Amino acid sequence: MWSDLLYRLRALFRRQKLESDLDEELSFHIKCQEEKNRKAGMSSEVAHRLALQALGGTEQTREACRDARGTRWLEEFLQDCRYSARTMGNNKAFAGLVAFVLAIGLGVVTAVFSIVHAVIIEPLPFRDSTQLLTVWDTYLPQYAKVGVSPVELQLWQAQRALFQETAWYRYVPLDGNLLMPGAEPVAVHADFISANFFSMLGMPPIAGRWLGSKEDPQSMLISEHLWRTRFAGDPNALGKTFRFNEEPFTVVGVMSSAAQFPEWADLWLPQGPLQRDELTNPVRHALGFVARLRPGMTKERAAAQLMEISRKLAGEHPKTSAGWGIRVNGLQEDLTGDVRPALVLLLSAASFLLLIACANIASLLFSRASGRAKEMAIRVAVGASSLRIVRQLLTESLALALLGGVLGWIVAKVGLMAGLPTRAHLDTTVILFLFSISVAAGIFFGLAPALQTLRSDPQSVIKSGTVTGGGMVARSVLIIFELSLTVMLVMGAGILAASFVRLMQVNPGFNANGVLTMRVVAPPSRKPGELFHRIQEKLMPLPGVQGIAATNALPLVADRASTSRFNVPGSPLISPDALPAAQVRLASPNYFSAMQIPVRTGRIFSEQDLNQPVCIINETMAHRFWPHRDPVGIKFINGPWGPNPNWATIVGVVGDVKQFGLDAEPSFDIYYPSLAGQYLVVKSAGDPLALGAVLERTLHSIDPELAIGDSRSMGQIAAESARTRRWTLGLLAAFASVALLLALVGIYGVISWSVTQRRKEVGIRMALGAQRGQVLALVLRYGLKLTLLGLGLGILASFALRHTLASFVYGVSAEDPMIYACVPVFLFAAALLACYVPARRASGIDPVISLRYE
Amino acid sequence: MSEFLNLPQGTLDLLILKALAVEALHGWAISERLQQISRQTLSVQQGSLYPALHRLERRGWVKAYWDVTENNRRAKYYRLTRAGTKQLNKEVADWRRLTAAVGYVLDIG
Repeated sequence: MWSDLLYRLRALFRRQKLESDLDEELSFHIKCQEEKNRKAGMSSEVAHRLALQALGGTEQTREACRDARGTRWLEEFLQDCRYSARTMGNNKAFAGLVAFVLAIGLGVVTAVFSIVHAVIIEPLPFRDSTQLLTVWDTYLPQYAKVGVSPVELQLWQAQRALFQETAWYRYVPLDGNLLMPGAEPVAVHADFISANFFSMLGMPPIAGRWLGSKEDPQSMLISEHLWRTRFAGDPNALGKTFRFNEEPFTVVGVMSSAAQFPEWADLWLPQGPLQRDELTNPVRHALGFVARLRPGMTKERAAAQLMEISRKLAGEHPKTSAGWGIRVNGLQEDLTGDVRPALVLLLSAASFLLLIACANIASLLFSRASGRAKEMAIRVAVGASSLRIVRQLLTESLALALLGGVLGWIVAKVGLMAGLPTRAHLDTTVILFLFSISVAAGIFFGLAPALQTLRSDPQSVIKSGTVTGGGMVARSVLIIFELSLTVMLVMGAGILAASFVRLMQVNPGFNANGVLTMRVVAPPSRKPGELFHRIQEKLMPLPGVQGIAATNALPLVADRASTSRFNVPGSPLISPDALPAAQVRLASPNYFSAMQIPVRTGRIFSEQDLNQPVCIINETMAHRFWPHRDPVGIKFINGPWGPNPNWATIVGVVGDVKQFGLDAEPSFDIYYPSLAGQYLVVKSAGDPLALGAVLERTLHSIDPELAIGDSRSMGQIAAESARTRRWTLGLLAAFASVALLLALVGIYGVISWSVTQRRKEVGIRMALGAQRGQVLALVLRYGLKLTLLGLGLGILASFALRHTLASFVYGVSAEDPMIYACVPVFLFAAALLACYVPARRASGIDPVISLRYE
Repeated sequence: MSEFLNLPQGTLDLLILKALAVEALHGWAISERLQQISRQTLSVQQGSLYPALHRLERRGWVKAYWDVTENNRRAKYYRLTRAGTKQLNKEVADWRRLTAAVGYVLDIG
């Protein structure tokens, strides 16, 4: 085995030596035979000739010996490679075109795959992360993911048969004020976690330690980001004490940003005095629950058992648990679920693009194969085996594919750098993926033309110099295939674009113009009312400021929602088993005017309303629960828990505001008068962002311990809320445009080629009296046949796949007739143009020249 | 050459190994030796000898080296390796079994 390999290697690398040895050996043999012949009395000439004959041809013997060395296939492969390199060198334009087209296809697929890989495929950087799962509550169909209550937490923690270990975290950030001596206060997002949270995830700190099981409640872990930006990465920060919300906390560890969980957290605190009743009050649903499955336990089995328990619970405690359900997710699915459909869509679109590119290249190779038909025919005629020729042609297309792959790597690299919002990178797996699809593509587009070459009869090819009709059917099929894929891509992009336009036209319910928002976190000892009034006093005189308001949660920002159930006693529209829930919004009296939220009936808050049991509701809530009357003045239960439920009086109804995103259904909103909201809303006359610095300075002059963060205009917030849609649409539109371009070039190429092929026929027709128009029609008819078949198949396929778009569509239907009509018409016109140019050329053929041609 | 029997597949290897079992030989000598061994009844194409030698060398059954002949000429010699001896014994045993079986079948016929 070893000696065999060594021998072959030697044969490969010391080829020259072996060849000269072989020559010497054979000539020695011939000399000996000659001598023998001469001794038998032959003349030296005859002796030499017979000696050569006896050996049976030196060249054949040499060949046979080379075969015996067992390196022939490799030598031939190298020979093919050299040959391919030479062919490519001789025809740089062709090789360049193929490599370029392929690079686009491969680059796009690779870039998208690298994102899919980083987000969906690659396991989370936690220990044994596939065993981790989350359990959430659901409430009524509107609330698909709500935190668990303390009751459920205890119940899930007790499921020792399912879980090896369990942990919890507060899944909504606690906005806090971190004071650092000698530096500006920082507005941070703090999280509370169970002490074992990080040790269960298996995420070691990059400095310091985890929280211990009997952790001092005044300890904290900080994020790498906070550590680097605010502590300059100083290892001495460990063990130091800082004031968070005016309580001293000691830094015990720094958590890596490579695997930060939850993503928004700046610091993590153990269960402690700052935490309110989230771990005791059964109506609070503030906790995220994460568990590690026992080895051998599957997510499905665990989910089934938890569902069972949950149903039982609803039966036992109808008051607190009716209407509730649970939802069990794998942790990875839980964290990436939002972008998953968009990524799958984009990966499919990118694969379509690659297929179109490959079809185009196959088509190009077909025309080249017919140009090289004579070369191949001669090689077959002089004895090249068909396998050998296919191998050579495949080597050529593989070489092209690999060149395309290298360029594709660059395209992908540039594409990723161009700023897709991901942490994706081109690691080994992605490069292996790129390499394998390059090879697959090389075989895909190289095999058909290679086989085509074989099928043609060498004799007729050598005689006529051309392959007649060679690959015509195959190329037609390729074009139809390409066109139908293009229809699907353009159709998809069209539907997404129409959705996006609708989305941008949606009235968000407020006016974003000139509105700046910032989070102002005051130390808890400040009185919110007093502080707000001082802020108002100082900021209002600033030039350009028209209004100052405060709220606890901004529109379009979904992750700060606070929800509460309510009851309208005696209303037939409410089932006491499943009370409706509404968004709780704290608003200062002038919030509605700063945001320009219209008042429908009643009035907005006044200063006298502060701390009074009054509220303003939105239109949707008014219509739903008081359908035929003005609810102003009506009292309803806004806190249905405890022996004495809370009541509130409605003083006004305002227009709906898109609280959860432009595409979200309107929610039920209840506004309460309060000055305690941490978001400051500043209405300005000009560019709101220009005000930021002045406002911050002024705020610090009022109180140097105010922590200010997240300074953004409402316009920025609106743009960000549509971000996933925007880049999904942008990429899909880009893919569709490239696909369209490729398909048009493809159909143009095939028609031109068919014109060249039929030049003689056209010449004869014209010699027999055909008019130019008739020739034009002849060529166009062929092009139109292909186009119509391609479009037809594309429309059918799009229609069949329309449901895949359903979750991306807004305001239009995935089978929108306008798009189904416009896209094919547009593509038809474009394809017609691509056919017309070569058809025009055909009609200009001079019969005399064409009949003499060759 | 129609009066010669053609060599069955693989027999050439066996004959070469057998020829080399006695002493190391160069290609021409092997060719002459084969003619003798087969008492002129088997046709050994001289041309097929060299590919066979290369094949045997690749398998590690023979080892090639350059040496000088009694006539003071440089020639490539082949000698049997340990693996080659083993292979020869195996092939001889196989061959005997085969020929015995063939004889038996023919007897029946």
